[in-house]
Amino acid sequence: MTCPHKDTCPLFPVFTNDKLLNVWKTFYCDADHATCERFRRSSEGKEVADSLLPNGTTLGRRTGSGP
Amino acid sequence: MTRFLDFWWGGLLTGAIAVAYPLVTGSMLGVSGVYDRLLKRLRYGGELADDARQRALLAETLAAFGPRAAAEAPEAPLAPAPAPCDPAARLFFLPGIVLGAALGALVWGRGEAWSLGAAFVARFGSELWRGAGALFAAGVLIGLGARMGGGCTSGHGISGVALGQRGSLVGTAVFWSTAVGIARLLDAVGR
Repeated sequence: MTCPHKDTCPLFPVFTNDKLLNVWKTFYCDADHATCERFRRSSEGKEVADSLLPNGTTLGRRTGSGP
Repeated sequence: MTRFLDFWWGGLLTGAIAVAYPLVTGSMLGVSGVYDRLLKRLRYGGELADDARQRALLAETLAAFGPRAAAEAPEAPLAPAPAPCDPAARLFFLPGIVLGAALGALVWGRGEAWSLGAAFVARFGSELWRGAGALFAAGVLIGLGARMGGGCTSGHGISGVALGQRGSLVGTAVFWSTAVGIARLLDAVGR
């Protein structure tokens, strides 16, 4: 089932690479959005940082250049 | 006699901003989303620079899915465009809402930029603290609803409905019908 936030998810405007975008969409938005950490936190009413990826990692942490 | 701008002007202008906003910022119009991003920017102190962000995204994608996944993924049919002047647009957008409404009230309305009308005064009184308190409480409820619904009246009602998104169509139907029902109920109770 497709994620109801797929078309409005604030994460996607940060993507400029279509291939990378589609990887995340295919695995999370289209396949199993219940496992998306962004969806989980949103459903629980928790804050969802724009840099939070669906697998729970925060964009930039790995490279040490986080916000 | 009270002068108002013809209603269809409102539709044209709202439609124009709904089309222009994504072209300028690279994201769909949604007032609650703009507030959300502004508050997060204030809280987290800015975002990654674009180059660093893309490098970080590539690293995370490769770490999560491996190089084959990224290499074989098909192109998205409607990928969002990069935001050419996103921060500046958002900077102007929020005060523009207030200034535009005030300008409209002064030029085409009754010139009462700070009045919410006789019905509001009749219900909440003319004291400033009562009116302001009611508006604040309404704002909190709207914020909670927008958060839970993944968007507000502009995000779902304008952008989402225009795109034919099922979630937005359902959400808009729910909040409009609820608003009409609550207004009718308050009107009946207040008589």
